[in-house]
Amino acid sequence: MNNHHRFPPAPADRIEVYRQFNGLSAEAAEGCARPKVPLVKSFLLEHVGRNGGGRCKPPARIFQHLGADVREIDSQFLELRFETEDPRTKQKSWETTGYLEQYDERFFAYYTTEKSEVARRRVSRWVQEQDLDNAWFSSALLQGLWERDVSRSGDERFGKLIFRHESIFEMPEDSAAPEPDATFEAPADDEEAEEEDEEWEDQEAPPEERREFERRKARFEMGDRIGRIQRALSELQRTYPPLNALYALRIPSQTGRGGHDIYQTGQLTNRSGSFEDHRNMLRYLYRIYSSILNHTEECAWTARDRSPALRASPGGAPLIIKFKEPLSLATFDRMIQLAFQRRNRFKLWGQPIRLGPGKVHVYGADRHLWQPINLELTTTGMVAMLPQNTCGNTFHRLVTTVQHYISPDIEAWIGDKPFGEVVRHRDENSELSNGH
Amino acid sequence: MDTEKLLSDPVFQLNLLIWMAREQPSVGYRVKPIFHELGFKIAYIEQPFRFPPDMFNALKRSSLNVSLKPEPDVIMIRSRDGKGLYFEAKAQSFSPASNESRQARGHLAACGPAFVEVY
Repeated sequence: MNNHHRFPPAPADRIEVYRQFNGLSAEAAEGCARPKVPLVKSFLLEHVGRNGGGRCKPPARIFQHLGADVREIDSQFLELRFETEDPRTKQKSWETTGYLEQYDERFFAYYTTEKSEVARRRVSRWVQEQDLDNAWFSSALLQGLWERDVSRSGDERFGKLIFRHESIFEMPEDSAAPEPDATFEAPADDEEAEEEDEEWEDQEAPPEERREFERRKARFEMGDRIGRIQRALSELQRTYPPLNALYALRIPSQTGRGGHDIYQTGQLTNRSGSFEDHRNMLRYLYRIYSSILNHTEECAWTARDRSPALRASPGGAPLIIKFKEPLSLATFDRMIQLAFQRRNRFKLWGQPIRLGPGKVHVYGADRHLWQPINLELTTTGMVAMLPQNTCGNTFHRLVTTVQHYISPDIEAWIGDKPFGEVVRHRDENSELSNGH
Repeated sequence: MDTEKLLSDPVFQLNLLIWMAREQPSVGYRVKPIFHELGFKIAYIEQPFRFPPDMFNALKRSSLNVSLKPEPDVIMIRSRDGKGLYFEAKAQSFSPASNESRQARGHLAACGPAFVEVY
């Protein structure tokens, strides 16, 4: 589809963008259009400025630094243009890739109709830089949305859940020695297998992953009437641990057909017939997430003041993660060997110090914020000490990544507070009806 | 058609609103383009209003007789300050028990904080 159909040419105001996206959403919801109508998708981004210890920057400056040609449509709505290359002619030109709305000084929304794979790769590049991070919708948060928002939207409506766990460090029990290809490097986020818009299907794994011997890679999709899923879910989760690694979720539209697909990295894909419905949902998630982050930071930093044991420590309350299924020693060793390499999914850097079999200390750095992070890793869990005032997003990134790549069934705490309780917190300011 | 009948015709009212929002010559116009002069542009005509999820749920839980999908005749927006105008044209008045009152409650709920949130 021509770029001019994906984005309105030189919109004078944001309503022109809304109208264009509304038209595309309605056509896509009809489902009969050929060629395929692009779906509108949004990404909730966190600006780590103030919370990362720095100063907040205006979004125009951040995106200019990322190579964008930025045009202000109104004071909180920007058009982003990037230099793109035509895959057939190899000709380069500047094209609109999407629009950025500033929700507040900490959260931005990026709306686009680019192909999901292209858009994810673009956003993935942005969050490699220090100013931006994804919003991390951990499995616990998605499970909370399922319980509070989806399961109550009607037993007869259709819902969809995707569970995904990739044991990228798993070793067979009988093979402690690293295989010859020990230079394996976990692919960066931008090489990760991704869902196609239409089918939520994985692409074929990259060749370097196919060379690896078999590891647990669970991807399970449940699409059924909400009532039926609800009745089966808890029993299934009890008997098959990867079903605790909830990766994506569809929230049915309240006002019409279709719904909104939410992914762990803060992506929301519109399958309703209205852009306003989609944006309403993203803003609803933004309020919830913002409230959860504030609560996370409150739990982490006030727990320190409450506890005499923690007061002497330079950090705040620890993040404690317990793996319900302990890792084998071979898997643990492989994780230590690979998880702190130059490129890794955890965005951590450090030199592991072995304290014994199955126990390691790492005095390292969070490569995203360039802040120190101290970790104790064992076969049964992880304790992370983060410095005072670390952005709450870091806790959510760690929990999400551990559940996705190390252990699907976990228990986590921030200080003495269960993580599940933290993500279920919604303060009164997260409710629109309370005037926020 | 007599003037009384014309004024109470919803299509005439809608037509009037559209002319009031369109740019017109500075002299000789039939309908003063008051909304255009004030900087408003038509955003939507007969587009269903989508309540934000928490407000939608609150209205649903209230069990009030209120439309959850009101459809205003015209929405105008002034982009320089984000102000909006929300219009529903009616041919005649209606009683609190009528179906129109259900719609009217939906329209009233859609104005204010909900409108600011959606647009």
